[in-house]
Amino acid sequence: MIGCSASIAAMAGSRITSFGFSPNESGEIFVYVFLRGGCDGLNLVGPVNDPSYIAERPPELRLTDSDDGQGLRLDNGFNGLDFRLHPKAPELKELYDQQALAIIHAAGLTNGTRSHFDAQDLIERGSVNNKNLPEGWFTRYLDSIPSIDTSMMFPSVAVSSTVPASFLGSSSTLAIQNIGDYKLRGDAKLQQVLQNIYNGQNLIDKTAAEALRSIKYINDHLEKDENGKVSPYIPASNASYPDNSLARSLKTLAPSGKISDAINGAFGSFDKFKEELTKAAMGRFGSGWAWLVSHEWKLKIGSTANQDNPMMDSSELKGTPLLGIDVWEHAYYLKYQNKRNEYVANWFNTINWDEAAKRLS
Amino acid sequence: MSMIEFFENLLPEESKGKTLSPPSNKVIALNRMSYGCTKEMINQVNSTGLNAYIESQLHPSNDEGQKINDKINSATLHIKYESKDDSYPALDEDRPLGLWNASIEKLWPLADRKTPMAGPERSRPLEELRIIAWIRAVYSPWQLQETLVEFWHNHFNVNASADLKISVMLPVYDRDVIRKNCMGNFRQFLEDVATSTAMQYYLDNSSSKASPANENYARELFELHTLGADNYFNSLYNRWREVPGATSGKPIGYIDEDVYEAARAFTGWTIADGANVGKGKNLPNTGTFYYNDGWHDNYQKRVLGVEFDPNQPPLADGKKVLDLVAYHPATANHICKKLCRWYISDNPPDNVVKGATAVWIKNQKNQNQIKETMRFILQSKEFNFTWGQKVKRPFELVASMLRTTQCDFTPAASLTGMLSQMGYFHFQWPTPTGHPDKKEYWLSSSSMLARWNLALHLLTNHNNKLTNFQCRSLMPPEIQSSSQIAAFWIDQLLQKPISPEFLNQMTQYLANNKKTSDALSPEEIDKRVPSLVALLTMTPDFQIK
Repeated sequence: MIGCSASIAAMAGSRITSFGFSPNESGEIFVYVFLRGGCDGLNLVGPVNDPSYIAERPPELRLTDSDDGQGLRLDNGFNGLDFRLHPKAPELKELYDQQALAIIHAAGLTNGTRSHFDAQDLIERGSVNNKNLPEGWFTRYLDSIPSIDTSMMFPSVAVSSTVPASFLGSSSTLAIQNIGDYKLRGDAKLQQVLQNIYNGQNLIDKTAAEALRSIKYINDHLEKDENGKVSPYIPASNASYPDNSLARSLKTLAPSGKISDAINGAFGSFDKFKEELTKAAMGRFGSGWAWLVSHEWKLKIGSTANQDNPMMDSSELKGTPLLGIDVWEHAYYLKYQNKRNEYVANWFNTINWDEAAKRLS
Repeated sequence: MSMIEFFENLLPEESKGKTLSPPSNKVIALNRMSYGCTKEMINQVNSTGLNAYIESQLHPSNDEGQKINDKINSATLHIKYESKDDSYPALDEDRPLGLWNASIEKLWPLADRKTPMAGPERSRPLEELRIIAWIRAVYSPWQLQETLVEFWHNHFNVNASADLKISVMLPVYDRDVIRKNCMGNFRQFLEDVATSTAMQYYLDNSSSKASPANENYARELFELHTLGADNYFNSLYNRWREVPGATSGKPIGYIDEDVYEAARAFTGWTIADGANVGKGKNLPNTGTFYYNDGWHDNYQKRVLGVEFDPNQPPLADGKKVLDLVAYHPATANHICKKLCRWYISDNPPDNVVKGATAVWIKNQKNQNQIKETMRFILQSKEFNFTWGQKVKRPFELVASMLRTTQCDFTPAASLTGMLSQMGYFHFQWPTPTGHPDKKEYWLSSSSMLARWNLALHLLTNHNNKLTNFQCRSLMPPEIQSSSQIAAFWIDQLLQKPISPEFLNQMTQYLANNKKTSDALSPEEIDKRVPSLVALLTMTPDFQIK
């Protein structure tokens, strides 16, 4: 941090934010750590035998291939240069040797601003010159992943009291400081009234609705002991986290990543809906129908035998049919023979949602 | 139609896309000029008119009223630490406040690490100042002044955690820099900031010597305190003649060269902290501003297209830079826009910004420059004609809860952590930018939850040590049924027309399965009304302004 001001050095310690989300069904987690302030990239990873590097940098700001400042040698040095890691980063060297670390060097702004704050704003927005862009680079990235249905689950979590600029414009990013304490005090009715009141289209309505929805889901999916108390998170393989702000952020993040897997399968997600309806269709023995019906503003899934339907007084499942899947053998035998599961799976691709919506109203 | 839209359509019809109705223009104005409009303020404006109220707020007296004096005199702050060897004994007590208004002579020694002293003794000035800020926000009759003080603290941000010297001298910064100038003259303000102990350490000018000068203060002076980054021509770097207007001595913005040259102008501006300055000499150790000629770069300079001759008298170079930036039209625009954003809307109306800028420039030598500018903004038509564009800042939100509910309030250090959960770092924002003044910053799932939980904590948790909410003491005796009580508290807190559905929801919540026309017993009132009041402060109608 030589050459940085005191305030910048303090920022790197106190303003670290990290995020994670599960971008696909295999549950991979992406963690993004943005070190605010400064990191002298050419003192962390430097081409020690490059004549310009040697000429331009004073010895105390330069890695060498000998003596005290001797860097840790990295294989596959770019362009025949001897790139080395700072000697105080042996952990990174270990990851690099395991091929678990890639270094993309000297990536940054083409804009030569020397304003720290403008530079951070631009990086977080992934913009060359618009520091006021109302959209972060991460938001654009999330939007570009087709397998993420951002309205039905919580693909991203920021370990912070506020949403970082990289997530600006993302309605699906949760800011969570302490996942074990992510709940609303007060009685259950209060939560209901808030839900009724925060129903507009303003930013505050959307944020509040998202908060209420996520509070419920997260608390439904947190592991609890027999007294209903949230169990403390025990890191896998008894990993121990150091006591500093970066480690604390990462520790908060770890269980939230695991929860996001559970949330993917929770009520409200398309997967769950699919699963329930598939279960109903597969579970109907012999001939009949599986249904999505609406009954008193609630959606229900169920099945009926033979020619029965949910509008009949005699039917156990009652409501207005929105979607129906015919599981009489004649409906699928020509194409799928006896493979009802394949038929049901492919049936989901043929749904006319407009028609379903019309039936609802 | 997508699946998402399909599911969204499941919502009952009547709950879709409700818009909030604004309060009266009077209430909008009073909320923006204060930490929460109270019935008392409305009554005052009803009798004197809004303009007279604005005028009185623009002329605060040093007398902050008996209420504040009582609160400050009776306030204590807990202090606790372990003993250390022979240096000091363990301590655990509630101690009255004695440092928030202390002299420099009394505060400065707390920053001396050579004197053995427990950490909590050193952080006492900061902790006390926070308590005082709360008391003033909630109880001061000079509400506009308090909101301006917060604005300027944010504009000229220093971080108390960056350096112990900043922390112990923060009461001086608050009193002799921010409060002294909050309605005064900007040029004077700027010099008081530049020479303050807090800013000198925060932006490292105290250690800046000729060649190479430390550019931190100079850069933020241009980028944040005066012209603003929108007027930074970074691509021109050192080609000063290419900045529009430069060759006629009126460049419309600044370049890096201006920053470097200004940094040279401020070399030697430091704090007398007893440092060894060579040849067996030490600076005095007073903690106050000191000009050390031996550190000054006295050769010629050029800032904003203006040439500085070499070998100027002491302080002249720095003062000339302050003149140039303080009187620059871009500064007028930058600060007036920030003021309008603070007081009106996240996207302030152009014509008010323009008008305020003109007033600012016209009064640049006037001792009441900021006051004149504020008068223009507060009297502009747009000041109270729009509503709902801003979310209350966390500090403001809490103060407005306490003001409208007339809670008995005993501030304590625990409030600082609660504020930080909502994204507000009281005197501790890490970077020189200050907190962002935009709702996108304040609104997140986590901070929304913190906003709600804090309301429940302060108003319904009887074991909390911060507030004592006696809801029945405010209610006239004839108000007894759930529907009457709900209407009373809605008026007390929101002071605006509400929809029948809203009233119904609140009444039902309060009645809790009883008939809404039935009278509630005193026990039921004590049990249910605090939750209703908390709920009202949790609604969007209370959270925005």
